[in-house]
Amino acid sequence: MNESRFNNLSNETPNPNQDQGKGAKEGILDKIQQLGQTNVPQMEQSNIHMVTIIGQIEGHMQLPPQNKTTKYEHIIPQLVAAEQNPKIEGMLIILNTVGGDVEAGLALAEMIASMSKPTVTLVLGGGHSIGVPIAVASRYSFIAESATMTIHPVRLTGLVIGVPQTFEYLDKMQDRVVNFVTKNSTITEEAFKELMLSKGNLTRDIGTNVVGRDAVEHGIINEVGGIGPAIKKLNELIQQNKPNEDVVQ
Amino acid sequence: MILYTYQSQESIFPVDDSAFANVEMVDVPGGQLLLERQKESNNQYRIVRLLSTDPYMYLDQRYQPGQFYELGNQNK
Repeated sequence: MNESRFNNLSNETPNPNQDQGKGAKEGILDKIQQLGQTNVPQMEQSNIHMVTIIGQIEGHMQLPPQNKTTKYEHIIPQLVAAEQNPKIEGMLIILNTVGGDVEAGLALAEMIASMSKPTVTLVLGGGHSIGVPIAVASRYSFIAESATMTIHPVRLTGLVIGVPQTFEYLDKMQDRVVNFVTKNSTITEEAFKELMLSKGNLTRDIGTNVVGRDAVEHGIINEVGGIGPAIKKLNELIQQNKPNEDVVQ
Repeated sequence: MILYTYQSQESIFPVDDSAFANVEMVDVPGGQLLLERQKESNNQYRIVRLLSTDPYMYLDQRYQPGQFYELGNQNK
């Protein structure tokens, strides 16, 4: 019995080895095809990372998948990772948003504003509504010449507010937006509120649509420009950030 | 019927759950991929969007939107 067992083993042993070798090879092939997780030559790491804030800023309600949305649960960890990673020296935030949830938008804006690394925002197409605080949150902001920003009061979706309590609540919420924008840009509270509440600019609605250069003239945005100037400015800010570190060392 | 309301469309006409079931988010090294399941098969997905802060990842052929993407068994 013992002998036969031994024989069996010795007969079987070569086979499993072959199978294992095959399995490992297939495994690697599978990984390359499906996950791309094997050692694919990596490009050098970029010292600038970017966040795109596109479509609607999604709050606590999940929007249907056909909507283009920016989810704060995606962006916030990305910002934390960028702040933490020593190889990342600057962040570029690209905006093309119609606005959305006020609190989610303010959360993103506060995250960007409190980053210790240089940040530059670029508004392309539109940075409407709650996109405005996000646009001003960075150290330096750019707006494309054709891009627009709609500044309007906080509301549900534009109808009359039903009860005084709701009005007060929304008014307080609006104050938070106004405070943030005036703190992070050169526009004064009066000027911003005037844009927000002015009549005749938007059809049958209050608010103002500021286009590219107007946004700069009002002091909301720092400069008119595109991706080239934005990256150049970010690199400048990174360079300014560097000498201090050398002194410490 | 014309419905005048200040409510958004999705809060009046709830979206079919299958719409959510067809999209999936998977982790890849350096970011996440938003995938849409192809009708013909269960394991074939198409990349809808890459979520990453690394600009170089967007140059990577493997993560180009529109590419097919097969989910490995370990993810199931």
